[in-house]
This record gives sequence, structure tokens and C-alpha cells, in this order.
Amino acid sequence: MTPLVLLASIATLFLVFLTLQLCWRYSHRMAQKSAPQLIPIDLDAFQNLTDPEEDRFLMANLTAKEFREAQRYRIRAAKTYVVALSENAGILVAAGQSARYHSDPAIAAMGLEIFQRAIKLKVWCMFALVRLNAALIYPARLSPSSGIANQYQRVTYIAANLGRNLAA
Amino acid sequence: MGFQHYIWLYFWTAPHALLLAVAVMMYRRQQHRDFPIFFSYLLFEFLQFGVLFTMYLLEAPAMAYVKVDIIGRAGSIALHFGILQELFEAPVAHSVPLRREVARILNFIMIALMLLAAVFIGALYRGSLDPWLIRAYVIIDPLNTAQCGLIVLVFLWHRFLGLRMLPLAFGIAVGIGLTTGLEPVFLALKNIAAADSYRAVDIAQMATYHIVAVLWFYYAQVREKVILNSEAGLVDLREQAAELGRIAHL
Repeated sequence: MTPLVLLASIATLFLVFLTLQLCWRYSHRMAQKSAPQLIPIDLDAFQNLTDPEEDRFLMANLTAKEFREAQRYRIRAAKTYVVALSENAGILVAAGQSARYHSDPAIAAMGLEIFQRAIKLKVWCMFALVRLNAALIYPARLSPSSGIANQYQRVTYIAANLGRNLAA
Repeated sequence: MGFQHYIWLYFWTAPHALLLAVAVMMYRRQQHRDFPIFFSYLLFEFLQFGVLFTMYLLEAPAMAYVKVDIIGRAGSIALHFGILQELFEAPVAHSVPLRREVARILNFIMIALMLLAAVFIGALYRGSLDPWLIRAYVIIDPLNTAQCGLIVLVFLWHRFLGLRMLPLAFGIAVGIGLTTGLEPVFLALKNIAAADSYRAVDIAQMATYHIVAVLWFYYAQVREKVILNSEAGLVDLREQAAELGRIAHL
């Protein structure tokens, strides 16, 4: 009897989750929220935080302990930037998704492009955050600039392109 | 043959007829291109039903019926996993590298979920059933539990991306969730049910699948409404563009 009770409890929890998704879907549609604002991000400062040269300079001029502490500060700061970038990407995903169903084909096409690029940006931000969290645990071995620089380049490239496309 | 038998026959045939209607509607609306695995699943389920129903009418040997049923169930479970992968990859379908990356992560999560579920279900049934039943549950229930876990992740994934699921994708996820979420309970109920109430549990399970088929039929014909108001929405987009342009040039 115990397995049945446990399975029934898990199934009930799961059904509650599904019901919440249904409620959320329809209540969200009814709610007319004002457009959320993008968070301003200083990409130069972010680039500085993930610069390999800066990394090497710190490593050469600080003791191992000081280097680890400095790296942790830099990683925490970089994480703040990536989180903000991810938030902005989320706003643009929603905007792009709305625009892609517009009756005007030109707006719909622009919406689709914004949507696709913003999704990419959002996913790369997620990967970047995973790497930054790993770097926070091993700041000396996994420096933010070693693996994240490439991803960062992609994110900024997509963000810049997205801006140009939207502004066009 | 009593009234219950006709109810049972209805719940066996009607959902499968609806599945065919869903497949036809998807084909007419070109949705089979967006969800090819789900489309294949609908056809597979209908075909499986056709074979089993014919065997039932021709009073085929029980062993042959059971074998076809098991093959069909295995195929359905495999297709369920394919559909869930399709739902995960749908938002990143336009980018091959991203899709690969998401698929890689998904496979890892899937294996981890199945192992966890197998350990959990194995521990749950240990000592309460005979060995061959434990083996059966340890195979079927973890697969269902893993699917439930993946469905939760599908919703969280869309929430994380800030994405509103397409109506059909939403319907598919809820439908598969209902089927797989309740199956372990129905299996356990069938195991403890007396012979006369076994049919009632079977009907309840079929009725659930009927609800799921109706749900898929509804979501297959719903169109995504335009949320963006032409004036206000465009102003918002332009403002956001200007803002992002400023960010990108910093």
C-alpha cells in the first residue's frame, strides 16, 4: 500500500504543477503589463573583467592568495553583468515573439530575427553563468578569461547585431 | 456483454479516432513540420491501435496480443522521449550548434533522471512484490518518472528563456504529462485491484487518455494570438532598440 500512496502523492504534486502551468498561461495572457525596461550594461567594463591580459597581469603581480581573492571579486562582478545581459535577452525574446505574429510581414520577419538572436544570447548567457560559477570555486585554475572570453565575444557580437537590427 | 464493456470499447476506440483527427489537422496546418516526432507518434499510436483492435476482434492468442502490446508500449515510450526532445529543442531549432548543445545537456539530464527514478522505484517496491514484478516496475516506472521530470524541465526551460510556448507545444507537454504522470498510479492500482475492479481502473486510464486526445485536438486548432498591439508594441520595440543600441555601443 505504501508504494501506491507515495506514487499517488508524486502524481498529485505533478498534476498540481501542470494545473499551475495552465493557470499561469491564461492569467499571464489576461494581464496587460507595461513593457519592461532593459538594464543598462557597460560592456567595456565587462570586457575588462574577462580580459586575459588583465588576468596575466594580476597573476604576475599578486601572491597566489591575493590572486584568488581578486579573481573571485572579478568573477562576481562578471556574473552580475551576465545576469543583466540575460535579463535583457529575456525581454527581447518576449518582444521578438510578439512581433513575429504581426500581420505586417516586415515586422513579423524582424520579430523572428530578434527572437532567434535573443534566444541565442539567452542560452550563451546561461552557459557563461555555469562557467563563471565553476570559476568561482576554482578561481586560480578556471580563470574567467580562459574559457569565457570566447563565449563573451559571441554574446557581445550577437548583442551588437541585435541592436543594429532593431534600430534599422 | 454489459454496459461496462461498451464503455470500455468506447474509451478504447474514441481517443484513437481523435488522434487520427489531430494528425489530419496538423498535416493541413503544416504543423507536422514543426513537430515531426509528435506527428509520427500520432500515426504510430493509431496503427498500434488498429493492429491490437483487429487482433481483439479476431480473438488472436493472448500471448501474441501481449507481445504486440509490449512492442507498441516500448515504441510509444521511445517516441515520448523523442517528443520531449523536440519540445526542448523547439526554441533553438534555428541554430544547429545550440541545438546540439541543448541535446547533449538533455541526454545527460535524461540518463541522470532515469537512474535516480530507478533507484527510487526499486527502493519503493523492494520487499512488497515478487521479483519479476519488481523488474517490470523498475523498467516502466522510472521511464515514466523520468518523463515527468523532463516535462517539468520543458516548462522551466521555456520560463527561463522568457518564452511563451506555442499552443500545440503546450498541449503536447500537458497531454504527455497527464498520461505519464498518472500511469504509475494506474499500474499500482491494477496490481492491487481485485479482478472485478480491474476493468474499472482500466477504463479510468483510458478516460484519461481520451481527455488527453481532446486536449491535443483543441490545441492543434488554436492559433497563437497576436499579443503585440500595432501602435504601442512598435513604440516599445523602437525604444528597446534604441536602448540596446546604446548598450551595444558602450
